[in-house]
Formats: sequence, structure tokens, C-alpha cells
Amino acid sequence: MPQPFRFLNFFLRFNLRHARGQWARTLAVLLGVAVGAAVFSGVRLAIDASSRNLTQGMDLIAGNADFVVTGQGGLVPARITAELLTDPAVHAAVPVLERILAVAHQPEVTIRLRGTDLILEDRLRRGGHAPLDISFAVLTDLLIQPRSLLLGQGAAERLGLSAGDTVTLIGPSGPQAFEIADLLPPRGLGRVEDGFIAVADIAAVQEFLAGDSRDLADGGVADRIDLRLSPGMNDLDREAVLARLSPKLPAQTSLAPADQRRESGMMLLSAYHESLTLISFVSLFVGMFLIYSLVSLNAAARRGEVAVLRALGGPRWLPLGLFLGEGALLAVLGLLAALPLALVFTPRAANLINRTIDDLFLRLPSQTLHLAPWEIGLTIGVTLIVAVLAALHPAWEAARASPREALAMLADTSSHGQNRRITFSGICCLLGAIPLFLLPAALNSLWPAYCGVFLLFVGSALQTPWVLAAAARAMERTTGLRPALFGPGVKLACRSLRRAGPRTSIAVGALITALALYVALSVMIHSFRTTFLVWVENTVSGDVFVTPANAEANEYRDAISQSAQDWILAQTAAQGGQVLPYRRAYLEGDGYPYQFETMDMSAFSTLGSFLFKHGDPGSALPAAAQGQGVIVSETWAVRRSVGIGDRFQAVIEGIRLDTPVVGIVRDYRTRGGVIYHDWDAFIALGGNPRWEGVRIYFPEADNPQAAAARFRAALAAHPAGQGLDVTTGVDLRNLVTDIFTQTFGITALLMGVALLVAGVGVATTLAVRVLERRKELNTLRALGGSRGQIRALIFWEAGIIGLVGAVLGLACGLILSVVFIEVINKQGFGWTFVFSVNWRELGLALPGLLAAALAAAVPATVLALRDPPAEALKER
Amino acid sequence: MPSAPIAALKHVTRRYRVPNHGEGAVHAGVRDISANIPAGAFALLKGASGSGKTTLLSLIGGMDRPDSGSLHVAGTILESAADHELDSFRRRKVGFVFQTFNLLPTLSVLENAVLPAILDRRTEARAKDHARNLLTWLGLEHRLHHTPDQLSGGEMQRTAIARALLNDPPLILADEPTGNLDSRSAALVIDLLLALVTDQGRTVIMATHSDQADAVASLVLRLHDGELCGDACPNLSDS
Repeated sequence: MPQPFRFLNFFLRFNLRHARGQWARTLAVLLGVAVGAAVFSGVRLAIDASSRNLTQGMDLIAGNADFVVTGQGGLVPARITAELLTDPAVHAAVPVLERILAVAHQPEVTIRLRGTDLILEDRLRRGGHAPLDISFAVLTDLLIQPRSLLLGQGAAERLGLSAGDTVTLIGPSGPQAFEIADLLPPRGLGRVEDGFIAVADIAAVQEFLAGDSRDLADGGVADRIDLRLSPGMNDLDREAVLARLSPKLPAQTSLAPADQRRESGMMLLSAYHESLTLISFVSLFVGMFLIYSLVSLNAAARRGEVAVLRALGGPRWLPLGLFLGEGALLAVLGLLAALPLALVFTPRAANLINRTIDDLFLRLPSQTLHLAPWEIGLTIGVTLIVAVLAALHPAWEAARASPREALAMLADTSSHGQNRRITFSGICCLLGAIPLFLLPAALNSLWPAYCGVFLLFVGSALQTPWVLAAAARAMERTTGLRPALFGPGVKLACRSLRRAGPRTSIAVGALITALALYVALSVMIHSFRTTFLVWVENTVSGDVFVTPANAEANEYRDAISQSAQDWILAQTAAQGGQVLPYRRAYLEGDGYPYQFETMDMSAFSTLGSFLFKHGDPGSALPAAAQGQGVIVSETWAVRRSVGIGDRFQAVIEGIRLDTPVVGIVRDYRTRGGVIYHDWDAFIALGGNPRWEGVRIYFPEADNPQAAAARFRAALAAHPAGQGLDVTTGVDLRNLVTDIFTQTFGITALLMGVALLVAGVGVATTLAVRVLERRKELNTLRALGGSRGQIRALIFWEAGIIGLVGAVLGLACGLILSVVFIEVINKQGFGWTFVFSVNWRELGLALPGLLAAALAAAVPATVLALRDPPAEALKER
Repeated sequence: MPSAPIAALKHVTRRYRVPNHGEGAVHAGVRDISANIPAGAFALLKGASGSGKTTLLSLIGGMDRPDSGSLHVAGTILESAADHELDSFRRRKVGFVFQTFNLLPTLSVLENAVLPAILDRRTEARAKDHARNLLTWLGLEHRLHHTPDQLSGGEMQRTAIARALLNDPPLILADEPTGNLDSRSAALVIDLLLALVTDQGRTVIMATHSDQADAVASLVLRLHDGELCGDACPNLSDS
């Protein structure tokens, strides 16, 4: 028989039959591994779905475009399309004007209206993405009839509309009915936003969106112009085209690769994705402790058998292979058991993750899950590696023993020397983590910090043996003063734990890891929430907020109409209020998107306030108000390593800005960062004074909230309010806070799962300890120990294990929370928050944890009292 | 005049379910045993492996309950005793000596010896004095603070004897106490057990399949297939 088959044959007899005889504990470990694997794969699949949806959605929107002309925060004159088409390298150039618009009477339904040159759009999409493929008759209709469009099937089905019907969309100047010339088939452009898309001739959309008609002259404007180069061009050719075309473009425009926006979006999401991967991996990591615990128990319990194998001539690698194989088998079976769990978990995780990305980062075009072979392979690989790593130490220990040593060995010998080695290894891990936490800032990557987090987990877990021994010794001394009060259970439990082998101790690592994650995330969320609420109250100031409808989704490309501005000014003045108009431009720089916001800094400093992180508010605000500098958000500054005095340089709508950073403030509204520039100073430089949003304050009103509600109702009822979103400050702040709370839904879920797996770990550890010491416990019963005393012994053990887990978990968690706040959040998301611990919440968690540890001991007590004490007489 | 029995067994039967052989599959550990063991006796339970010695010892020691029959041991009616009464019986009325010593590996020799007192919630300091005396008598005064893995087999068994004697029980039950010992240690243990009877007036019931203690035993109960067989028993060496 070939060697691998012989090994397999032996493995089946030696390991599988043994596992079958211990089905309960094997099942418990499999459950832990399955939950860990299900969570990891679920989160990875959800992350893959969000990345895939983002990239596919953007690709569908961009078609086959190679380059894109944008307006550096503003619009692009559509007339340059013709000039671009004259270049022989340009195969197609398509001006695009897009908005996300609500449907009249059904504001919950939004449609992406795409204004485009229909003929050039078809040319752009041929050869790659599905072309438009519309009939000549429909094309003619769309070109001749200015209020007609093609409607995606998703929207048509949702609204119950078909070709020939009309659909009314709410634009910035009010509602507009469009005739549906035809339905877009669900391919290519028709798949964008799951079919919630409408395509019309760009002229029709320009007219619809222009409002005051100021942008209609000379061919109108577009958001961008998508360019497709002639086929067969290599990277060098493309660079040459880029260099040739750029100087031909107007000053306020720029030419960039089409995938830059997608890449910057992915970059923005990468830290979020990485942190979710880390947290989900913790569940699998906790499962690793369970595998370690079981395999090491089996290796120790079967040491005699291993010795016999070795004595009969079995090679040293045989026990190594058998126990490593056992770890791998646990992983494989755990993965199989994870399948049904993953089916339930993945859609929920995807939903939570997509909602968070939608709320916090950027609009996700669709929320479709894909079965990604790479992600499934990753889960299988990671689980197998984790399992084999977990089994490595016990397998190595088994392989190291010589036949004579193993046969002569007594059960549970002193582990003092081993404990010292373990403690030393743990200290090395903890010390090794420190430089890893300092590296991200230097390397601009979070992976060293993530490695450091796991070294911290391992290092803390490896401190368990001596902490457990010390705690047991202290407990024995303390309770020994009043033996009558505590009974013999505590003494015996302490004695047993003082000499508990590393297996028991390290199994507590599962609890420490899960608890550390819980503490760290709790502290992080509490700190974040505390800082966030202060920020909301100060920086998101204002009694009423008015913006064009869906302003955020449309990246503030529309302005509030002049008539609406006039109405707002008049009404605010009548109520003794004050207006603070602002503009927002969405820009990209250094690979990240960011926003440029102009507002009256002087007025803002009296009506609201910034939370300064760096810089002196007393000098920074007046300087910014005089246009002598900008105030930037912490996220923008951290991502670019910018400090006070460094310069902000950009070209916005053709205006070249080169001004010092005078203040760095906390900001949680944007992920890429925001630059605050004074309104008047920007106008003086030639900026457009249009209102893209306005905050309204009623500082003199007796009841500002009532005044805000009145204002809102009046504007909603007035024709000037059509096409505007009007929100009171209270509602907006509540909404922002609710979104903030929701975004931690997935985090809380993952935290709970990790604790659940740790609970399984504690229950398994205690049960295993009982099984290992069955003879001891039966001896105690034979010597007259009552059931109550045996129960007390096990509960004391559980309590001490829970306490040690809690103390080490708390210590590790507090260190980890600093790492989360000062390293991972800062480097990954660019923001920090004021460190704040909710001691009350943690204080309540501690008794909860002890109660859970005691509850986990119940199966162990049942197991301990199952046999009659006569079992003590059995020779084995 | 014969002494009053310290253990009186009447028609004692104990059956066990045979694992993995269906619901109805049982085997009789002991069947219809009736016997009186007088106080102050050195009684031997003899028989081959599987004859029911250990089962009978565990029934006499209150570690198991009979399916039928009655057991009166050291003034306690075991078949009807509540769990806590059995616990108390095991703590105070009997001392156990096991074949594999069953010392707790995490406790020292002194602590192992003092264990019954701890379980009985007695003052540990006084119990320790008593345990020291016992261990000194057993020749273990130099091993008080050693752990079981540092002892020889004979020392471990003497520690177990000290533990069995700590609560001063009238009845000592020993299950193959010499089974894991060399001949010299085994002889020493038997001498010690005999001394408990002759010098201290206790009763010793010892399960064994060896003939080492035959010469000093005052009573020998022979078991075969769970039944007392008296002179009708097959020769042990044959079985």
C-alpha cells in the first residue's frame, strides 16, 4: 500500500475512532470552528460583494471609457467634446450629465437620470460593454422629443410603467414629466442601479436641470466627458494621448484615467474592509484556541498509545502527522458545518455592510451577492492554516516524546518550567507588537498593526498560566482565612488551577481574545460616540438645512434656484434669522476623494464651532475668515501627513489655490476629508457665488425648534420649495446620530459572535478538565465529598477562570482600544477621537461575564456527577 | 462469643447495563450475596477478575446502591440512605485504599492525607497534626510536602492508608491494595492493614486475587461470577 494511503488508513483507525468516542467535545469544537469560519467567509463574501458592486457599477456607468474629463469640482463645457473628437486617437467622446432624482409621489424611489449623447454613447459602449442598441425610431423620438427617455426595467417594474407611459421626476427646479420612449434592456447601461436608470438626450437633461437656464448657452454643460481611445493602444500610447490632450482643455478642466475614481473609491473602502476582515477573523482565531485545546488534550491523553506506536517502530513524524491531521480534519468538518451557517449569516452581513458603506462612504450601485470562488478558497485556506497552526504545538509535543519517556510519564506532571517558557514567549509577543503598532504611520499600511493586534492577543493569552496560578494562589490564601465560610471546593479548585497545565491556561486565551475585542470595540465605540455627539452639536449647527434634492448623492452639483434663495432670504429676515450659504465641491487628490466647502467663516464662528485638533482657534478662525488660510479636517490632514503651516494647493473651477493650513479640526462627515474656505475670499478669487446649500439659524427666537418647523412647513408649501430638501437641525442631527449607531451594527454582531465562540471555548475547557480529572473527582466522592462540594469545586474553577479571563481580557482590551483609536482609526480612516471609557458599562459586563462562565460550567458539573463514585475503584 | 457484624448483607444483587448491547442487556455484578462480616475482622474478598469483588466492595462502601437486598454497614442502612447520608457515611465510617492509590496529583502528601477532614469541614490545623502523626507512623515523615509524582508506589499507598485513617473510621476497605506494588512493599502494606485490625481494633475488608494475605485473614469470602461460592469455588490459580 502506498505511504499516503497507509497513513490515511492509520489516521482513520487511530484518530477518527477516538474522536467518535468523544463526540460531544468534538462537536463543541466543530461548532466553534464552524461559527468562526461562517463569520469569516460571510464577512469576506459581503466585502467582496460591496467591492464588486462598486467596481461593476462604476464600470457599467463608465462603459469602455479610458479617460474622463472633469471640471475640478465644477461642470465641464460640453462644447469641448467636438474638439476632443478631432483627435485621431479618440474613438468616442461622450458628454454625460447625471443626477439621482426622486419620482414624484414616490419619493422613496430614486432613479439615476443620465443625459448623454445617444449616438456617441452607443459608439463608446460597442466592442465591450453592451451597446445601447436602440432602434432608429426610438433614437429619433429621443432626439426630437425633448421630454422623452429610456427607462430601465427595474424602475419600470417597480413603478408599473411601460413604453408610452410618462414618469415624473423631481429636479432641482421642480417636477418634470417624461414620456417613456422605450425600456432599456437589462444589459450594459440597463443594469446600472439594478435598472433604476433613465437615459435621455443630454440636451433634454440640461434643460431640465438648468433651472435658471444660465448653463445652457454654448452647448451647455456636462458633469464629465467620457473618452474612449482607438483600439490597439498600449500604456505608452495612452500616456502620450494624455500629455497631448491635457493642454488643449480649458483651464478649469482636467483629464484623468477613467478608473481613477473607482480606485479612489476602493482606497476609501479598503480600511473599512480590512478592519472588518480583522474583526471577523477574531472569531476564527478564537476557534483556533478550541482546536488547540482539543488536539492537545487528545495528544496528552493518548501519550501512552503514542509511546506504544513509537515502541513498535513508528517513526517520529507519525504522531506529528496524526495530530496535525486531526487539526486539519477539525477544520474541514468545521468548514462543512459552516456552510449552512454562512448561508444564513452572509446576506445579513452583506446588508449591514452595504448599508454602512452607503451611509458613510459612497453610494453603492447595487447590493447583489456573488459566490466568489477566491473568497471561498481564502476561507478554506485560512481555516486550514489556522487549524494546523493550532495543532502544531501539541502534535510536536507528542512527536518529541521518546517511547520510554512517554510510557513512564505520570498524568499531569508539574508544568512549572513549561509555564515559564510560555510566559517568556508571551512577553516576547507583547514586546514584538509595539514596533508593529508604530509602523503603519511610516509604511502607510495597516497590516503591521493588524499583525500587532494578533501578537497582542497571543501574548496576553500566553500570560494566562502564571496569572492563573497567581490568582489561584491568592484566592486560596484569602479564602483559607475563613475555610468554614468557603468550604473545601475553593481550596481544591485553587490547587488544581495552580498546577493547571498550559493546555487549560491557553484555552482561557479564547476568552481573553474575545473579551479583549469586546472591551476594545466598546471603548472605541463609546469614545467615538462621545466625541461624535459633541461634534454634531457644534459643527453640524443650524436650525434648518436646505439643499437641492438628493444633494449628497448628486455631489452637490445643483444649486438652489435664485427664486428659492430670494424666498429664503426674505423669510429668514422676517423671522429674525440668519442664513449661512455654502458650496461644496467634490474633488480628488493624492488618490482620495475629498470635499472643498466654502462658507462665511466669520459668521460660522459665531453661529457654530469647529472642534480643533491642532491649531489655535483664536488665530485660525480670523485668518480663515480673511482668506489667509484654510481649515482642514483631521481626515484630510492625516491621509496626506499635513500639519499646521503646510500649504493646501489645488485648482478648483479654474481657480488656483495655494494657501496655508491654519487649523485642523475633527470631522466625521466625510471619509476623504474636507477643506473649509471662506466664502467671500473664494468669490473674490472668481468663484461662483451660487448657493449649493444653506444653513439657517434663528438665534433670537424664543423657541428655535418651533421657528425651524414653521420655516420648513412654509418652504415645503411654497413653489420655491419644489426640488429642495428641507430638514430641521434637530432632525438632521438625529438622523446623523442614528446612521452612526447603525454603522456599528455589523461590529456589534461580530463582537457577539466572538463572545459566543469564547463561551463554547470555556464550556469545552471546563468539560475537558472534568473528563481529564474524572478519577480525581470520583475519588473525592468516594472519600465522602458531596455532590454540592464537587459542584462548588467546578464552579470555583469556572469563576477563577472567568475572573482571570476578565482581568487579562480587560487589560488587553484597553491596550487594544488605544491601538484601535490612535493607530487603526487614524491610519485607516484618518480620524481620532477622545479616549473615553464607559466604566459603568464595563463594570456591568464583568458580573455578566462571570455569570456566563458559571453557566458554562453547568455541563461540566453534570458530567462530573454522572458517574457513581464507585468509578474511582476502576483501575484506569 | 463472636463479635456483632460490622457489615450485614442480605440477598444483595447489583446488575449493570452492558454498553452497546441494547436496552435489555445486563450483567450481574453481584447476585444474591448474603454474608456477615464481624467487627474487628480482617476479611478477604477473593476471586478472579470480573468475579464481583470490586462491585461488592463499592456496595459495602456506600459508593453504589444495590438493585435488591439490604446492606447494614457500621450502623447505616445503605440501601435506603439518602445521598447526603451516604456522603457522610463514606466520610466518617469507612476509609478507602485503592489499587491505583488515587492521590490527587496537585496536593502534597500531607494535604492528600488531610483531604477527608477538609471534605468533612473540620479544622484543618488539628487534622494536619493528626495526619502528621499518621504519616510518621507510616514512615513518611520525610515526605510530607512532596507531591505524589515524587513518591514510590509503596509510599503512595502508605499515603493512601493515612488518608483512609484520618477520620478514624471503624471500617477500612481496600481494593487490591498490593496490586501495583513490588513484593516488599506489598508485604509492608499487608502488615500495616493487619496492624489496624490487631492494634487498633478496626475492621479491614480487602479485595484481592492474590494469596499473600490468606495466612493473616480471619475471614475469606470467595466470589465466582458474582456469587459467593465458598468451598465450591474453582481454584483461583486455575481461573
